[in-house]
Amino acid sequence: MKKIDIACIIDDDPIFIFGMKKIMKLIDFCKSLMVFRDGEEALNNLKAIISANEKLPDVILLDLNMPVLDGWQFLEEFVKIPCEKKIIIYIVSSSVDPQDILRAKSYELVSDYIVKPVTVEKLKNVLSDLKKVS
Amino acid sequence: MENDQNKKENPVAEENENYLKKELYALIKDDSTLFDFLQEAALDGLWFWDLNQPENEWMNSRFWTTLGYDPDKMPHKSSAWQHIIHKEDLKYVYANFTKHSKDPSYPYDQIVRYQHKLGHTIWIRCRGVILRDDYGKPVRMLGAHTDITEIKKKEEKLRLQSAFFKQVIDSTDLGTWQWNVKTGETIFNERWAEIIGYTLEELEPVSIETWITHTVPKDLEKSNKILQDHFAKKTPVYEFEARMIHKNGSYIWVLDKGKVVSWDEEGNPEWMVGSHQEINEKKKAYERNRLFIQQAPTAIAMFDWDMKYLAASQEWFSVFDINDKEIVGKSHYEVLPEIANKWKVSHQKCLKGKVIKNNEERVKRADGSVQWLSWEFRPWLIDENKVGGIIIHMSDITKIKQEEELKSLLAVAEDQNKRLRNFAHIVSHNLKSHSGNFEMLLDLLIQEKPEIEDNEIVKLFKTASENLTETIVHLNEVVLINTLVNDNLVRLNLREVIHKTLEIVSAIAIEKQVTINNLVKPDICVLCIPAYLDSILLNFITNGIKYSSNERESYVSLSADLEGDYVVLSVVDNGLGIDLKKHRSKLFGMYKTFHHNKDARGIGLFITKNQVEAMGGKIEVESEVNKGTTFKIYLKYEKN
Repeated sequence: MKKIDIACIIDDDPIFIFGMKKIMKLIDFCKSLMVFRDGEEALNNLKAIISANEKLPDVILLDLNMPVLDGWQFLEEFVKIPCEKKIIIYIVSSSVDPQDILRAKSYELVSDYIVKPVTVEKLKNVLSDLKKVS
Repeated sequence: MENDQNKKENPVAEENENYLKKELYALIKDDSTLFDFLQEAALDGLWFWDLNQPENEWMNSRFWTTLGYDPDKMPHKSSAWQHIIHKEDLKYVYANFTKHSKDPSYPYDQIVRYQHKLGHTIWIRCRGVILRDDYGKPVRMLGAHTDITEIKKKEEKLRLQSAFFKQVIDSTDLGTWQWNVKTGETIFNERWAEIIGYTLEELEPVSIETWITHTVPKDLEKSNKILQDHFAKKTPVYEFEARMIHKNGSYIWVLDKGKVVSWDEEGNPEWMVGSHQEINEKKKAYERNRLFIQQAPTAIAMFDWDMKYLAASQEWFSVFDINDKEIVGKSHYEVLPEIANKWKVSHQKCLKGKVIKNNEERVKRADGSVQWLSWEFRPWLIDENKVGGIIIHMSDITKIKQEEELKSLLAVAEDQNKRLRNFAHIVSHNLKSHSGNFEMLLDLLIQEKPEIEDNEIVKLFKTASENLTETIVHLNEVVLINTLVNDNLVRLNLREVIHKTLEIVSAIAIEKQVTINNLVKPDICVLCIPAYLDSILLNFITNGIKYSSNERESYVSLSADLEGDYVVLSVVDNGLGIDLKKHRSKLFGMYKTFHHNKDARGIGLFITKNQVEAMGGKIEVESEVNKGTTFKIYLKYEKN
């Protein structure tokens, strides 16, 4: 696997999404990108994809602080969905609170915690990690 | 015969009596109406009996009217009275008659009972004298009756009454006494002696001395005072609780009550009567109560029916600010004259058996300050239903109330602190995402158009963005300093930790030519969060290096002393010093600098202070401009 098939960003900050798109393009991060503005939107759409048996993303970049369903609530719900495909989740947050970092690590699905701002370097590291896994 | 005796006994009256008597006797001889008057008015019956013909007897009319009969219908026969006299008494009469007829010196004088016509008994004192002929043979007999029924009735009544009182006294277990105050003569009953373990016989001869020698001298003194009040008619009765000395040497509590029943012409007491009641058990129980109340750790007092003190605790004196501790026997209202009327009303209600209380009463003191009282009035009972007085229990809960207020203030402060923390958290978090975006966008901009990196505005923009990010990082550090760090404290050897820090700073120390002395003894250990201690040491040492003076050989010395539960780490330098007069208040504030040093950022001391305080310590500072600064850092001491 040279390149990530589908990546997914769940974040309510349009500037962040704009920046992420730019960086992803720069380093050729993935073939296609899904963007959801909050946890609920993401959950509903992902559920729909699963039931329609369509292609799920390989990696999710999840923000914590969001309206409606925040990152934690999304995780709580998402782990309950039966899903054959292994999706790798990165938490991408401004929070440097050690409690948040510890909590993130308690989820099996979450492979790492990235502190914003995301730079080209940081995303490159993610990419190389993903390649190692696959 | 009686007249003869009187003559002898009263010779002075002899002259007078003689001529009048003679005159009276002469008159009676001449005028039989006078005799009639005498026999009717002076006596309750007269009889004259013919002993030669014993069935003949003359009885005067009064004889019969006394017994309820019509004299006109009664025969002058001896059988008439022999029918109505009490049979047993008749035998007695015959016996006396026989004795008197044989021996004239034996008096015919007896009390006999007759049956009145209406059926009741008439008591008659019957006296008589036999008249004899020249040979001494009895021929006539003259007799006189006196009706003593009234006296007999009173006597009987008195007998009954005294039996009644005796029964009453015996059944109440009272010792009784009668005392002639003038002569000291006393009469005790058996129980009086029994109370103190004796028989009356053992105490003989009794006098007032018997009481004096068997009573505790101190009590006797008090008793005499109360007695004098009674003698002066200030009190209607004498009443006192005294300790008497029992035969076995122990004390017996006796309730001594009495009253003067007769006074002499000058108004001095003569006879006094009274009783002794053994009240040992009651008194002991009361003494126990009294002791208990005196020792009670709260304000408590016991009053009698008249609101007079029976006992009061030490706390009572301090709550009411009473200086005179001799209050037993004094009225509550006399001790506290300014007491409010509503309390008096409550006392009266309580005396009627009601329990009254208030757990929180706000009282304004005379000086205007507020006092909080919790109080209870409770009646105490003598017998099952009789209230003997009240017990007042009162606590000054002002301190507790103040503590409660303090606690609620503390809760408010805690709540505000929590909200502040929450606020700081959100601010730092939200600011961070925005500054992150700035950084990211700038980064992307430069990636896309590398040539603009040299643009002055973009350069300044980048600096501003970096400063913002840094500020937010600091803010976050402060927010994250947890005040509840006890679980994370680790035992650290202070000298070793300093040694490691010195390795990090050695380069700049050499550059600035500052000597650093680690004078901390090797065995001193502190309780710290390792990262905090590292940060604290680094801050103080680098500060010392940064603000060293170029005018002299600079040094920073670290030493440690024990002070109670703390290790006091002193960081002493001979550098630029700080003008504490100007800067003390903001020394540990955020973004405060006191030197025109280009490296100064003013965040170090702020974070350091927070970290030290989070670990339960404190920082003190002494400084003199251009002489140097000493920081004293208090850290928790770990003994072993």
